[in-house]
Order: sequence, then C-alpha cells, then structure tokens
Amino acid sequence: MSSIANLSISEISDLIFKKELSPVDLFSFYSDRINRLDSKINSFIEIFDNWEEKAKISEQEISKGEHKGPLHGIPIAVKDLVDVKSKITTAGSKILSSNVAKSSAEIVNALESSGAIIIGKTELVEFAFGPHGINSNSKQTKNPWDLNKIPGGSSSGSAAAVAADLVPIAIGSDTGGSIRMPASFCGVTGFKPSYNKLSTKGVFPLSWTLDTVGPLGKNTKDCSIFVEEVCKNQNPNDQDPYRGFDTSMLDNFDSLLPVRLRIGIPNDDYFSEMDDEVKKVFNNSVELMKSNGAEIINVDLSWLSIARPVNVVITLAEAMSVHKDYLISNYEEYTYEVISRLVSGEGLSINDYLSSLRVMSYIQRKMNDEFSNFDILACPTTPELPGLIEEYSKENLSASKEVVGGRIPSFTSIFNVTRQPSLSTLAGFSSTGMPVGLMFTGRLNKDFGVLQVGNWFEKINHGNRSKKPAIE
Amino acid sequence: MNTEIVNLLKKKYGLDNHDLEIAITRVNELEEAVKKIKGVEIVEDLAQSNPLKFSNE
Repeated sequence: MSSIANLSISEISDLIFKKELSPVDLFSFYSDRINRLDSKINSFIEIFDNWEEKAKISEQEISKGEHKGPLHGIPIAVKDLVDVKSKITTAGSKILSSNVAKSSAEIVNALESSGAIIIGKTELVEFAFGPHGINSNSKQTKNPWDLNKIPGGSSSGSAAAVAADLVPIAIGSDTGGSIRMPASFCGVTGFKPSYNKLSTKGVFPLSWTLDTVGPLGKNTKDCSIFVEEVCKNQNPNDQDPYRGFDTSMLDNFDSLLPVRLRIGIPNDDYFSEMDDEVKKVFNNSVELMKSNGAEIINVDLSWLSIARPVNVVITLAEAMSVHKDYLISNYEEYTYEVISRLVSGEGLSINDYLSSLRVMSYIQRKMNDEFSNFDILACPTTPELPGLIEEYSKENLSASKEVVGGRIPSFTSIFNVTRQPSLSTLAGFSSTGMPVGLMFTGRLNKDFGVLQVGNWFEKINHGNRSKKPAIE
Repeated sequence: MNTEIVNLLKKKYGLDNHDLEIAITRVNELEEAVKKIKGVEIVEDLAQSNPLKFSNE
C-alpha cells in the first residue's frame, strides 16, 4: 500500500470498505504527523481528545457491515469559526476565548452523519477578516512550502494542514476568497460552492450576503465527495442544495471529460494585471488545456472589476454590524490587522451599502448573460505570489501608503459577489518553488460542472502534482 | 483624507499611531471603492426588473 499521505479520500475509503485500512490506522498516521510536524507550521488550534475513541467506534461499525459512505472514518479538520458542540469557537480572536458552542454547525452535523470524524480546529485570520493568513493573536501559521511566507487566509490553518498532510481534508469559509487564496498559496484544492449551497448555520459570520463554507482538500475529487456528502446530510430547511445536481454527482465523475469545452479567459486590463511568475504558469495552463481539446475564448470582462469594490463595501458594512457590540466593549482585544480594517467602515453610509447591493444584483444578471459565450471561466486564483510574513508586521503595515496584500483577493472576491461556484487548484510552481493556483468559475448552482472541470484539469496537469512541501 | 473620520477613530477607539496609519490606508481604500460604486449607472437595468425607479444619488 502507498503511504496514506499519497492516497485520495476515495482510495482510502475503498481500502476501509475492504477492511485493508481502518479509521484507527488513520488516527495513528495523522496524529503522529501532527505531533511531529505541526509545531513547524502552526496549523492547528486544538486537536480533540476523543479522536481515537471515535476512530475505534467507526472501526467497529464498519466491521459490522455498517459502512456509511466514502467519508466514514475519514478525519476532517474544522476552521475555528465553525461550531462543534461543547468545544470553544474562538474565530481566531481573544474576545471569544471562552465561547463554548452549545450545538454543532449544520455542516459539522452533516459530516458527522456521513461518518466523518471531526478531529480539531484550525487557525485562521481573526474573525476571518483578511486574505494574508496573518493573526498576531496566534503562533502564526506558516506556508509549508516556505516557512517564511504567508499561507494565505483566512482559512490559513486548514490549507496549511492539508498541504502538510496533517489531515486529508478540512473545512474553510470564503467571503472574498478565504478558501481559494490559501488553497492557491499552499498548493491544495479549495472549493467555494454557490452561495447557500452548503449551510452556514453555526458559522461565525463575516458578511451574511457573501459568506460560504466549503472544503480544502488534496484534489477536486476529494472536495466533490465532501460536497456531495454534506448535500445529502444537511438539513434542507432553507435551501435547495441539490439544485443543479441531476444525479449523485460522482456517478461517471472520472469518465466524463469535457467535449468541446469552451473556456473563457479574461484578457482585459483588470484580469491581466498579475506578477510575471503567475502569468507564466497561467499561460502554461491555458496551453495545456488547449492541447487537450478545450476551446479557448478570450473575453473582455473589464466591467466586472466593479465587483471588487462591491465586495469591499458589503463585507465591511456587514462586518461592522456583526461586531458593533464587541467594537464598543472589546476593541482593545482585536488584533492590529483587523481593528484597523473594521473601524475604517465608520465613514460608510446606508446609501453606500444599499448602492452596493443594487450593483451586486446588476452584476449577477450581467454575468449570467456573459456565460452564453463560454462554459467556464479560468483565471489565476491570485495575481501575486505569497509574500513574507515579516512584511505584515504592525510597523510595516503602518509605514505603507497602500494596503499590504491588497491585491491578493482581486480575482477571488469577484465571484462571491456573483455568488458562483469557484474552485482553486494547483497550476504549477514559480521559479522559487511556490505553488500557483488556477481558478475555475462556473454558472450559479452548476457546482458539479466546475468540479468536473477541476478534476479534468488535475488529470492533464498530473506532472505538476507530485511535489510535496519539504517540512519533515 | 477625511479628517473627521481620523479624529473619530482616535477618540472612539484610542488607536495608537501605528493602528491609525493602518486604518487610514483602509479608509482610503474604502473611499475609492465607494467612489467607483457611485459611478455605476444602473437605473435603467433596475427599472426593467423593479417597479420602483431608483435614482443613483
């Protein structure tokens, strides 16, 4: 058998089903790696002490023939703004250091119903409010590919833990790119589903208009299994999770390759502004897709750049509302990187907020029309490579006339405003060995299509996927 | 730069100079964002889908 670290969830699940591998073996493998390696990257806040016990229970269930599905016995880590019953949810802040959750978030309940084992909480940017992955309250999560570099955020711990093979898959949240940006910087796959596809009940909000939850995994197929299992098991009270899913989404997942797939590539000024290293890897990916039968369609989406300021205003207006009580009573306990951002919203008016919501509605309609010209949109996940952690010191941020790292969410944040499903997967590496992500975005509620294309791309790009970060 | 906001941030949150400098870059970013949004002409589009007619400003 290959090392567990090299196996996908579907491969692990097959072995578990055949009783050649057990959830207790997974506990031994991953807990050993966490004990040996997490002190190098600081991806976890807490590992739950009932993991081994739950693994033994899963093993007994499976041995009795009660196999629940592809996530049965699979360890999953949770970004620490997602509630797990009787555990503390800090949202990365001192302010919530004794905030014990009375019940589990809907996504956690759904995963547990599918047989998954929730093993612990991962680090994040305080209140999920930042693309860099910096949290001056914490030990600071590091990028497994270069320990001096930022991991990206806000789901920094989830991305770093998956990249370092400390856990096969993890939950993240995404309001402006917080799943996809750290996925890109850490070289893993991250999927932001369509808005309201997966329930955000029990997830500490940043912006209720834009928030989504989703997986960060080693590949698209693992992320697809995660989405499928959550959709099957979550309470569908206020949503229609299967909209756009005709059948079990993994049926024929591998065999269906896109025929005459039309890939839109934005070539306007806004989407062309990126580092040369990113551009080089992106262009290679486009050539690869073209040589594998895709039709490449250059599109001018310069009008779409307005979605970035819309995201900024809506997120800040809603974040200020969420934080209004803490901002009065606990403002001294916020980190410098988040308090300075939150209070900048003091100048916003209700008209600014409402205007942004109106423009958002306009963008969604216009974007739907654009998709008549292509099937899927592809662009780099981020226009730049991860910077150094030290660039985000309080002194450096205050000395800069511009927002440090302000360009990181330029592309990702657009698709929270359009509410479309959007996936980041590894495209290649920079000359310094840092991962570069490629982002696919599809029509609203056509999540399956985006996941299929991601799976296809990962197969044709297999040559770039064998590298691992050298943290051992 | 909106000095009213700077004074408010100093007074209300007691920000030190470093925090204030960081906040100012964020205020500038936000002002730029609001300016762009106010520049969008969407009255006609809204009129097509909504019986109410909105004025952009």
